[in-house]
Amino acid sequence: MKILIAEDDLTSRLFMKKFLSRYGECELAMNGMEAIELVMNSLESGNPYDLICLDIMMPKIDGIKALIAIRELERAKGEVLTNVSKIIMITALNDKKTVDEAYQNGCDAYAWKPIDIEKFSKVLKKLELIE
Amino acid sequence: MHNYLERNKLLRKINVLFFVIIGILMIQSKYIYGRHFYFNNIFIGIIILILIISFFLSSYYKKSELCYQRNMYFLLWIITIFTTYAAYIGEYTAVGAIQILLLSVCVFSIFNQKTMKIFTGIYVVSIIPIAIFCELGMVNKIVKLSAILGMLSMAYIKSKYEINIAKKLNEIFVEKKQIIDNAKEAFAIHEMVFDSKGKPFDYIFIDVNSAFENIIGSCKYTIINRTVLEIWPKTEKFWIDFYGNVVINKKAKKTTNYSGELKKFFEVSAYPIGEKGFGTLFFDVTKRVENDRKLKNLIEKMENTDQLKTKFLQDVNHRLRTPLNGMMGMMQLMNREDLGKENQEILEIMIKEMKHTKNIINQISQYVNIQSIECKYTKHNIKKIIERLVAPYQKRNFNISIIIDEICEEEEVFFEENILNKVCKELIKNAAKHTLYKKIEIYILCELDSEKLTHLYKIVVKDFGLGITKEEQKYIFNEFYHQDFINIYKEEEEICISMCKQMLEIIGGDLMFESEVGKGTMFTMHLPIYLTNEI
Repeated sequence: MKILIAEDDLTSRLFMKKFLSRYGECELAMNGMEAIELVMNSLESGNPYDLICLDIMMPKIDGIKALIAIRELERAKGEVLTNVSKIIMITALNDKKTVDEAYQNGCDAYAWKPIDIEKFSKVLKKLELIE
Repeated sequence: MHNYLERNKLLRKINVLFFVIIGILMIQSKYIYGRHFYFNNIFIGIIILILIISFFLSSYYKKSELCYQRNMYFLLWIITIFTTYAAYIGEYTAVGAIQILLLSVCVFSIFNQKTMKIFTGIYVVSIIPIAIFCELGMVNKIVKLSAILGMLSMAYIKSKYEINIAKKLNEIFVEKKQIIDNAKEAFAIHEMVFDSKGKPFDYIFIDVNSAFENIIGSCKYTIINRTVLEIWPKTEKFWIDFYGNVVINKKAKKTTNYSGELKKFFEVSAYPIGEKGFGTLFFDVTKRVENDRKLKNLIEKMENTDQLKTKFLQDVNHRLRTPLNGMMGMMQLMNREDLGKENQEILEIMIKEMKHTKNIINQISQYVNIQSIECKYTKHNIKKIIERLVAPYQKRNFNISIIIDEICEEEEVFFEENILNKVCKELIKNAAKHTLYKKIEIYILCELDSEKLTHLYKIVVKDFGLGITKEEQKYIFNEFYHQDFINIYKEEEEICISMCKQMLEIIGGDLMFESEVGKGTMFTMHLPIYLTNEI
């Protein structure tokens, strides 16, 4: 499984990498712009990400904007719905407005920091990313 | 008042007419008889002249109307006496004069319809003996004297009668005036002054009461018959325009505004009087206006403080989660490895404390979220809303009965809709989950909280489940956001009982419960309602 983690905090990034490494290859991005670039490259090389974890509070381009951009890129590429990457927002924000916005723009799940790894694993199973 | 101004003018006109007639008769007499009308004796003539002139002038002296009338009548009586005397001693033309006098006095008494008949009667009665004497030509001194005495006494009686009436009327007038004069509210009567184009630009003070004197801090005689711009040149145009409006449109109006000269806020009711006059009723509302402003400022300050506080908590909430994520994450990862029994124990304790910290931060989050709920006040019938919320459960064969106070059944009131919906939904869901035999009872009662003077609806949701033990009861309202909030495909927003209580407290309500093991639980919700929408 190909995984992209976009997170600006070092410790969190490290944590997600260590945690998700057992499920697949992890690539890291430090902000929204880097994430979009990596997704673009992956789509062009024909090898899209299976899972993208996006933080919302990031410098330059925030998570929501990155989400919109990524979904747009996928649409432009004409990917069939089943190949589209699963996107999970991982963030400290949980106000109704942000949650609504994230779901409206096409995220698959919304995880609230601090992450409980057992529950997160359950979600991955539900999204059919792991057994 | 209208009559007073009008009558005064008419009275003066009649006075002038009266004296014109006397003048004409004097001239006529001079021509015919070679001497002035009823002036046999030059001294009597002078006295009468003086009386006439002084009375002519008195009509321009600003005394009370009643005193004036009284004096007028008395003078007329005196003149009548002299003329009748003159007639008696042979001046037949005097009889003609008397008749004219009679006429003019009757005209006078138009203003007092009741006494008109009496006056006419008295005069007629007094004239008849004189006329008889004249016709009979009796020159007997005793008869002469007694006739004169009779006339004098009738004159005296009449004038006394006049004075009594005048006194009585004056008393009533004074009483009325006293009520107005001693009233706590300030009254004033004015007359508007218009410029050549008919636009109001000033007004004269005609009369004010003692409360008004208190407001201006000086005796009324310093402002009566003077214009407002004369006394207070900086009087705002607003006031003059306002009164002008009342006078021109002949419609009473009310306003609240500031007077720079008196340095006070006044609530003024003005009403039109006659052609150019208007009356005003003043209330000093400076304190009220200042208090309103203070209150408004205080509320603004409170709202700002509240906003800042919520924002701060929101900020702290976010910032705490990031390091917490790092710490908890690393600890969880470490827990997956085998570290040996002792380290495992230590790590587990660390994770437990971390989860505890997380729960505390979740509570802050919950508090912040509740603060930011938008309150929407609408007018509705609460029974209908509850029926709608209960419908899906009834479809699933739940036995739900709604028992409602007769008064509230059809009533439409103002209340906060969002919170009511959320809380009722949660309470019903909770009841449905715990009740046995699918039975739920909902009571809706209406109450007046006499302490806070607000109306309350008490909505009780009763289930017939196993009840809550005394131990668990302690934690009902301490239950916090146990959901870790990883949801997929946007599951429905979960709220818990403690959130319900917090939300209700924000809008001034409350949530309480009673429970008995084996019998069931009853949650009572207090919802403040309003009869008007001025919230």
